[in-house]
Amino acid sequence: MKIVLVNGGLSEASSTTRLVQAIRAELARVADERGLELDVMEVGLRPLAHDAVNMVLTGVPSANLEAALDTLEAADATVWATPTYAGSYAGVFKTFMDLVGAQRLEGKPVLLAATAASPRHTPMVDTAMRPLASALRAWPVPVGIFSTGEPGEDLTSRITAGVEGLLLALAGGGGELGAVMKKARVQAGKQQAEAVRSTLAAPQAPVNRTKPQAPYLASDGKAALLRPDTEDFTEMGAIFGALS
Amino acid sequence: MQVGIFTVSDISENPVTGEVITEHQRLKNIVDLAVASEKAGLDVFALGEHHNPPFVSSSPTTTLAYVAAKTEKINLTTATTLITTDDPVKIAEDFAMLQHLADGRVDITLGRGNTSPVYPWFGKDIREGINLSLENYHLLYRLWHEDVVDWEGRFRTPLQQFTAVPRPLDGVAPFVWHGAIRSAQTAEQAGYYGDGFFANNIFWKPEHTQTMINFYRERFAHYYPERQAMVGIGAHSFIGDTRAEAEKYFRPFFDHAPVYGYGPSMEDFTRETPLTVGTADDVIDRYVRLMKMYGPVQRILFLVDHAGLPHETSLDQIERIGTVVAPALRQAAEEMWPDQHEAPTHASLVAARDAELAAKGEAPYSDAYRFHTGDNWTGLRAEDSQKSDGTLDR
Repeated sequence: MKIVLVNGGLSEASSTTRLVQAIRAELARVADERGLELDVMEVGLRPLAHDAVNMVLTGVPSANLEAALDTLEAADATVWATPTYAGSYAGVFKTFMDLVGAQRLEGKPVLLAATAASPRHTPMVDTAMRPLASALRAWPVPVGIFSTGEPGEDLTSRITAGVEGLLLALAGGGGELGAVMKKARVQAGKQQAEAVRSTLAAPQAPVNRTKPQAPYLASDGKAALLRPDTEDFTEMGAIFGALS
Repeated sequence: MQVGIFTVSDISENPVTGEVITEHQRLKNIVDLAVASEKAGLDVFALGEHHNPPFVSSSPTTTLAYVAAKTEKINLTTATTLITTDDPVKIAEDFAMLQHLADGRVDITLGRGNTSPVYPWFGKDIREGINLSLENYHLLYRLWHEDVVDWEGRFRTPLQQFTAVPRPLDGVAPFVWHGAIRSAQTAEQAGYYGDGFFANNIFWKPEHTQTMINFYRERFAHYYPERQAMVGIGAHSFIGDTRAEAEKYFRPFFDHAPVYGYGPSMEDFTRETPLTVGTADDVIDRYVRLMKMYGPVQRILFLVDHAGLPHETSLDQIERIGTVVAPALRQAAEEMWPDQHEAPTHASLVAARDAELAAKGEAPYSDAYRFHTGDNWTGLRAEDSQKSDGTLDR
């Protein structure tokens, strides 16, 4: 199982980085205790911040940025950790997530975590991060983690609960959810296409069967996968028949 | 291999002098670039189509016809013609007109466009972009290959017994390149019709362009195993006498350019994309490497006149590409792929058609006028002019 932590910490030795380390430690502890094979990787956003903005502006990913996006795509589950700025996730974190898009994490369990300077923004995990997870079609586990570093904060039990939630979601079929969701979308696309096909085909006299029977392509073309998807096409013969 | 230039016709402020030229001057300059390209020995001139500022070229065929009158050899094409939002009937007519007036020195490069608001301006839905390009091109193909077309599709008024005039010169349609950056369907489309594939290449990562070109070759071979695929690529460079001089001159234009300005550094962008800033040898080295990577390439078109570069600078770039870079790239292509055919020209397409007719034992093509010339108002039907034995009823 490959678990990738997105570390949105932006300062050196940031509290977000410390929270990420604590979550990694808990993942390692649980894996060790239960004999799970966990491949844990981390994507730090600080060194990718400029590249992310450049990609928003030009559409061209740097090699490092593309590698980070590929790492997320290969993950079975992810952990998102961001500092809280102005009551929400950091702008750099959102900029990066905009590039991740709705395909790479589809159906995959995600554990949401944030740090902040004050407990005033505690709901941020549920009011900002959870909708973002929905937009990216990821599957957030119920327990989120929010840390201000204040004395008496019961962080350990939250991390334990969050990590348990993530592993349960993984064990409970989280890994396959993405495939199931994609299949449902492709199925819907095919039904749409079939409806178009039959409508077009029905009233035509043979001599007029020149109307192209273009189905709606089940295309994810506009979503943000970088390498061209050479499986995302419909054979032209299926649309226009053999070329005379 | 053909080497040429393409312009997208942007009017951008010169970031060094603050100068912004007029639309009139830009258009005149564009014609000048085309004439200079021929003089420098280049093979192709391509002009873009846009429908919004800061671009000036909305109607490439008028400009290309004017260029045709001022040149003798250079091939004229587009970069690109919007197959999604232009009416395929008008494309068929405009390019057939151009083809006749330019004595066949014309092909066409189709694209879906890169400006999303264009779709609603022309009454189209961008979510149908791919479907529009498929259906519109199928109609365009038929209008050029069939004298009389019945048509009913999802996106256009039906046609009954329609003949697009003029018919293509010598009965041979302009060669078609399908332009794309990352849409697999476009590569499939190019393969299905046996057309060329033009990979934008610039502003993008070569490994992704390579994926697209390989996919096009695969699909082309699926439909036409015995024929040769035709690949074109865009190119992006700035050439100086030394690398330092080229970088110094080009940097302010890079930093403020549309599309990539205010983004990555010139160093990042030259590393990650095919942009090459340096000597002519640097450009030759880089593009020979890209050509190797992409396999046989039949056409390379350089972007030389964007981002507010002064006209004299663009002319100088054309001179350097035409006299130094192009001969070296052509020679490299010849050495790497001695058995490859060149990109089709009107003459080669006519010869191929004639050979095909001869092989089938059919009569040679005749360009005698084959339509009624009398009553043009009540049901003109070309097939009505045929007698039952297939000969023309005159």
